[in-house]
Amino acid sequence: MGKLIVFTSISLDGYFTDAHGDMGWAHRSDPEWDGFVAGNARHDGMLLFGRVTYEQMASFWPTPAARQMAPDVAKGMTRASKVVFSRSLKNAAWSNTRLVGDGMLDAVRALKRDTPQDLVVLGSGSIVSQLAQENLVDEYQTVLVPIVLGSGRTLFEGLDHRQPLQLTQSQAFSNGNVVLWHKRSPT
Amino acid sequence: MSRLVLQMQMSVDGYMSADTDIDWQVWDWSDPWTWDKGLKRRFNAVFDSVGCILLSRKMAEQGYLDHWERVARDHASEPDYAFARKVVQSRKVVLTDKLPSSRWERTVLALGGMVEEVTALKRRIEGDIIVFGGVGFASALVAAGLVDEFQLFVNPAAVGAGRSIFGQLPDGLQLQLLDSAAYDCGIVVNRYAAAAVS
Repeated sequence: MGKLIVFTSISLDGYFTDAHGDMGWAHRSDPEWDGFVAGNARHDGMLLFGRVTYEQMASFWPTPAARQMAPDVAKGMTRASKVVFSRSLKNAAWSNTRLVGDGMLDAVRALKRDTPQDLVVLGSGSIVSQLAQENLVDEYQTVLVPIVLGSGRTLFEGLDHRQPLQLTQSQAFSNGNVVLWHKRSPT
Repeated sequence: MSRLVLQMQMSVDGYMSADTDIDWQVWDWSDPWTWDKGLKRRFNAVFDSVGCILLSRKMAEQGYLDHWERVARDHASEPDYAFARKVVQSRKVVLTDKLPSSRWERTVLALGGMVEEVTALKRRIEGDIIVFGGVGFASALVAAGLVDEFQLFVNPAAVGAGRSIFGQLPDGLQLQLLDSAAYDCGIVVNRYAAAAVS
């Protein structure tokens, strides 16, 4: 049984995308940071997405530009098992992707039960709040990026009860990012 | 030229302390003080370099100074509460155009505009100027570009909604991480400088 991990880059004013849905501001390349991200990409997790984040990633990571910019990450993203949750998407063409139309919460419960490796949600504000609400998230890995965006989408939009967390680790990087690891507090 | 230092409690998802409803924070500023020893020491050390405390009118009128005076008296011999004695002894400035006079000790009113008063204060004061106020007051200082250093205390909670001191910056802002430290009570303190304009 794997853990469900939510991995997100977030601005200091709480946004995970800017007003145009873009996450490019979160890429702050430097050798130390790139090494950390490449290490994550080698981690053999199953990736879960909402439609918006999926479409964004599917249109970037398989391209030559992505392979040139971050070869290890591009390789890892393509090889990984992926699940996209969407009622409107008709098919999901990116390699190793399964499309789940209805019953996101039940599907996640089944995945948690049956999948030996960790499940990792990348971005995807629309599903994070729902998963958090149902206490399905075991761990948050949050990258605090030293930038204020001014506007955008918040990760926990629609959360109707607070999530008390437990800090397990933190690490600061030379590019100014601070990564926080939190576990869900026992309820 | 002294620096304006702004300290704020924050949730993992970027919301800052509001005037009410702060149950997600590790410490709600009442007794007992629920931070760990290391973070209390850190908090006290911040006051070593403080030359002046800048307060919003609201904070002053809500009894900020009376509160810490009482705390300083009640915990007179405890090293943990040295900061409260420092608050009492420090010179304080309340930014306001609504009050006729100050009724607090060692406290003067700054009646001019915010930018003029804070800029003049930075020239006059030796040591850091530390700000205490709500999100509204802090946002105005941030929006005017007056804050030199941000000390963000990231509390272990996601809250989903609230206000941020960065709420009045439609064009955003680049910051520079100065340092980051985690504490046993679950708070991570990140210090940022307002990045130099290039």
